[in-house]
Amino acid sequence: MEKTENIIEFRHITKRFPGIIACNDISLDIHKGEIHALLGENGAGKSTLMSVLFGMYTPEEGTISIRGKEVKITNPRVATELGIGMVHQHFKLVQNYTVLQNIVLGSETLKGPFLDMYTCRKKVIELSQKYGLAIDPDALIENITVGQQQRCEILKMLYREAEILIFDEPTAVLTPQEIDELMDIMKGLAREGHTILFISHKLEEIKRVSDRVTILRRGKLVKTLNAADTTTTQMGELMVGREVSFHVDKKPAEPGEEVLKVEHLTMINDETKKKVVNDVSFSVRKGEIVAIAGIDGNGQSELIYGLTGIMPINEGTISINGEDYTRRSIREKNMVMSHIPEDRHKFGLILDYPLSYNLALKNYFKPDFVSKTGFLKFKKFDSYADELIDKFDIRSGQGRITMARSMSGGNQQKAIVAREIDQNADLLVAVQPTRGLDVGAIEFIHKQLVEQRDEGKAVLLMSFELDEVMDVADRVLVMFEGEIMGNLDPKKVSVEEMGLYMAGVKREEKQA
Amino acid sequence: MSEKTAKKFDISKHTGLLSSLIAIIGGLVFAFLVLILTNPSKGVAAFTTLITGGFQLGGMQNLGTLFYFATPILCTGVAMCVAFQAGIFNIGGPGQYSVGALAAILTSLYLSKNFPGPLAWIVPLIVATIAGAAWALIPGILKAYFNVNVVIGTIMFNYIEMYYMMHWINDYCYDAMKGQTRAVPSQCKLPQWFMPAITSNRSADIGILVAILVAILAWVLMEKTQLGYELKACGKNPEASRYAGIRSKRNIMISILLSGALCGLGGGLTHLSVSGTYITMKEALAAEGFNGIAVCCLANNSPLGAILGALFLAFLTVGGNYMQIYGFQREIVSVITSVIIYFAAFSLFLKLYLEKLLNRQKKEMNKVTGEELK
Repeated sequence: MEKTENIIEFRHITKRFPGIIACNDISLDIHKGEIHALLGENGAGKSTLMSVLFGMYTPEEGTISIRGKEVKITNPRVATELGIGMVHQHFKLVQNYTVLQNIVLGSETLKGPFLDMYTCRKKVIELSQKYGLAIDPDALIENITVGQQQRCEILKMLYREAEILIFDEPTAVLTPQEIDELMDIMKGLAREGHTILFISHKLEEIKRVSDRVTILRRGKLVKTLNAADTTTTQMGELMVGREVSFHVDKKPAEPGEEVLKVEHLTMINDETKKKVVNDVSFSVRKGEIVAIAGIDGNGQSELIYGLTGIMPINEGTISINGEDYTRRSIREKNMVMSHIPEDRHKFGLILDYPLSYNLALKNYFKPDFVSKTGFLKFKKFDSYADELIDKFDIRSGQGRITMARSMSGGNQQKAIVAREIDQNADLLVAVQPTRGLDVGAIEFIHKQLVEQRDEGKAVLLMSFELDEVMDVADRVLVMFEGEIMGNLDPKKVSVEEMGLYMAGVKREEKQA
Repeated sequence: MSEKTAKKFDISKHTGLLSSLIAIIGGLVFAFLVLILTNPSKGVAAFTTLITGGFQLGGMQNLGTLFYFATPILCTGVAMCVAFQAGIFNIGGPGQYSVGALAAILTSLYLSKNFPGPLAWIVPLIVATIAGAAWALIPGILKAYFNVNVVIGTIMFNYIEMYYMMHWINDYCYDAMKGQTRAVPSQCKLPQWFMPAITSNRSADIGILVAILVAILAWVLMEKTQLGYELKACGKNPEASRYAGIRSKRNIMISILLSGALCGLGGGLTHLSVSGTYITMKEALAAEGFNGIAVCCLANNSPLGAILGALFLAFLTVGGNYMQIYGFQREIVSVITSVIIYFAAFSLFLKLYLEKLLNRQKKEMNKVTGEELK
């Protein structure tokens, strides 16, 4: 192999956070021109290591050398000057600026005191053609898809002449087709001599796209492997530290009586006047997991918001256990329906409340938690939190008093799952419950969902991950442009066929 | 440097307090500079008087004055803490405060004959509280049901109050000889209890005690009760609160009404005080309302901290009253308080910076001790 020149050398990097060693004595060489994947569970230290490289954290110990020279990367500006660029998991784009404006923002070409947008535009278009990053430079960010936003982020790095590109979980938000395109783009970039560092939990993708993979576990480097010489199973085991099953073990469903019944539900967007949910009817019975599948933006999120009461519905009825819940308050719905929300930071948690307060978010008003005079029973808050932390293995720096904000994403999600499952409601609505989680946590959450089903709960799962839908659900409803295209049995339908329903090409006759 | 952090007292847990202290010290240093630069010969003496609150000149009776100044800003300060914690930026303090004051005056002028004994002051106080809340009602409704920015809503109501006030005073309680509101009947003044004895000030009354009690109650409400849990949740994340089934509209109303009520109470306490005060006919918003924001900033939104914040600002005001002796304008105190407020506004920034700094030091310490262990 020719690729032996080390472009980055990490030496004994250690980074501590209160209560946690995020990176523990990590030494790693990155070769020039390779795609190097970093694999690990949530909190394994991959993002921290990359943040150290990008200058967002300063390590307590250890050194970094770039192109053979030891450097101190004290902030992202230094990193940019060293030719390091990063695409964050959550994009950092100005919503009401155009693609072009976003790309050049901060490093505009000037002609005297004025912007020279012509030169900027030429450079951006050249880059976009060279690397096959198709974009419309004049489109507003708020109007383009997530995939296009990501391309805009990549162009941003290339525009700043970054040679080392860091991708933080780039596929988490993409559709299968967009993922394919991204993989091609990444390979193309590597061919042109760029070095790519790629954080992911998704073993398949790593196997497909990367040259080498480094596995981290609990802040320590476990092993660096050639992607070609390893299997996903081996990677999974190294990552979690034990055997993992990718397949969800479950018995055939034994559906009982109907819990949720939705009839002719219609929701209209206030601004566009478009029917985002169009005459949707379905039901979920006890002891089954019904999944809502589809490509992002086809009304699934709105359907869930309407169902849970977060958004108003225009027409139709919702009944739970035979009772009409269409116009009930969120609090009343919460009594019969648990809800793992899509956006854990927006809805799921109060980030500046401690973990114990967050775990009690759906219970604090119940007699166990508050006295008749309105005083909170903190002892109960604490014991309840400890119970859930223990039962669901929620890890945090300081236990129940940890601020939710300072917890890792996976553990935040675990906290929400713990809280919602413990509600013991007849209906569990789980929206993207494993988004951004690692294999171990995904396995755990899937097991919990199946367990809930087996206990006789009705489970409604909304997910963009087709694998998850196929694996976990007993029945799949595919949504396209606000309508249900099919009511399918995942055991009888192939992924490809499902894809046709998702794309709106195929449609079942009006189902019951 | 590392020796300091090695102390038993863990500073990192008290960065909030520390940042307030830094804000105060920064303000005082600036005050010193201003005094020295304005009049080098008397600057030091004036500054000494200022930071001793004039006690060395005026003696203990200044304690009564201090309490008198602290009472209204403590009430408005606590009002702001409650509102800000609930995410409602109530800038309507001046209006709510003045409406409370006028309500107390009018009640005592017109209805006091009907109230025997302590009711003569209790009823006007209650009316003041209700009036303050009522003045917050419309901005509250606008915010909760029509999503009108609460800052705009409350500011507008300050001006509505300011102009209406003249009209009301003119029609109902104007003392044309003195050009101000008529004096509150003596039976309606707050009782004095033991306050004159402990402050050696003949006109000290129980106003400050009521205000402190209210601050403590507000703290209990915010920290210990279900309502406080909900209000703070709405302040920290309204979407998640809605998701949890908390009725955000109701909570917006509760927090802004509570805040208005506390401002109104402040107005009532001040205008029923034994030392007595008046509303004059001029186009100005009550400073006590805005100073509440300063108190709240100094206190990092904590009602208990507001007690200290209010006492401190009042302390400076008392000291400032002596500035004229040294040939300074007493407005110098306003300058100094403003600077402290400026610094206090940075206190969040300071807090974050301190935390970062302390973390770094701690890590260096760990590193050192770690290496020693090896």
